[in-house]
Amino acid sequence: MTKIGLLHTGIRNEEKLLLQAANTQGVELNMIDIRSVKLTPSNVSEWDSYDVFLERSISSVRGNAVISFLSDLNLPVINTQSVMEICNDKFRTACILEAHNVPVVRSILVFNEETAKEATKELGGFPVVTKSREGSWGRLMALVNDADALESVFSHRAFMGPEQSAVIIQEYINKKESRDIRAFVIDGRCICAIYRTSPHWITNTARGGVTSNCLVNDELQAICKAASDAVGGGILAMDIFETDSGYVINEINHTMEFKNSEDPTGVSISGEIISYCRNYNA
Amino acid sequence: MNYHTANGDQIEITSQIIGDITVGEVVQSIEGEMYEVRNIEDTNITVELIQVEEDWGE
Repeated sequence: MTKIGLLHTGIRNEEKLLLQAANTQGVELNMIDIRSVKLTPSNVSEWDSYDVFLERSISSVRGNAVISFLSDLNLPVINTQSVMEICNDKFRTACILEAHNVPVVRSILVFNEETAKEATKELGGFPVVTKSREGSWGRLMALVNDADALESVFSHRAFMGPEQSAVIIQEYINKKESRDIRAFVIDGRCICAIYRTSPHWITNTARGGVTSNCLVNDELQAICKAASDAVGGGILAMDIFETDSGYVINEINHTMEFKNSEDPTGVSISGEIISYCRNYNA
Repeated sequence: MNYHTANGDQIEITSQIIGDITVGEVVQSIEGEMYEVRNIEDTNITVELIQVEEDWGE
């Protein structure tokens, strides 16, 4: 029987769904609260009894540290350290997708207001979106409509520490029907997708976006496969915009939330994740 | 279920609970704050406010 170590911090409904799915499939799944672990190279025996680890930490600082530790011990972790490192960094994700000819929202990384103005012009002018390299749920994202707003963004960021001096200036995509797509991709296959609809320009379900089923057509399947291959595969959630020229990737999440998506899609995402873990061959 | 902090403040939660509530579970109050379940005794559930980290969630 496969033995999975589920690495977690706080337990969300996603983790409970994964536990239920493991029970249904007869898989041994042990919950490991990584807030209370002590990582030393000398306690390898504590870890090597598992067939695979599934990283589900809410905190990326803790999650990334544990993934790196286990990877250095050559223990199998989903997602891999490489995938985690790419997807943690929105700008790096964009660069890698671009390098692999995967359609992606145009982004320019800048470090001050003057270059931000130049980048805005290169992207076709206002409005643009500013965002940090890391972050989720739309935090520290801003829709910037004019030069005054751009100045405000940089004046605020000056007090946020050196990490926040790197700002992504991103082309603003006017969403069709006020919605975007979140596609759930496992091992290069889009297993299901939802529309996230919101009157607000940020559509995250954690911020009130309403979910509905999105049928997976060949074009959506193809861009998901290409994006998955580009970043290294595994279990991914892709945020995708619909444009007149086709789909474009916005971001890729490597520790996805999905509790609001099983009902509208009718797909047991948790079950698919556990199945992938069972058959995972590092 | 009666959700409250250690000092007795009542918390009204909005989270949908799947299955049984468990220690360590994260719940959200109607004000939008995040709490973690610390103790469960029958229907009395003690929660603790947790700080939203910069890298919180997805």
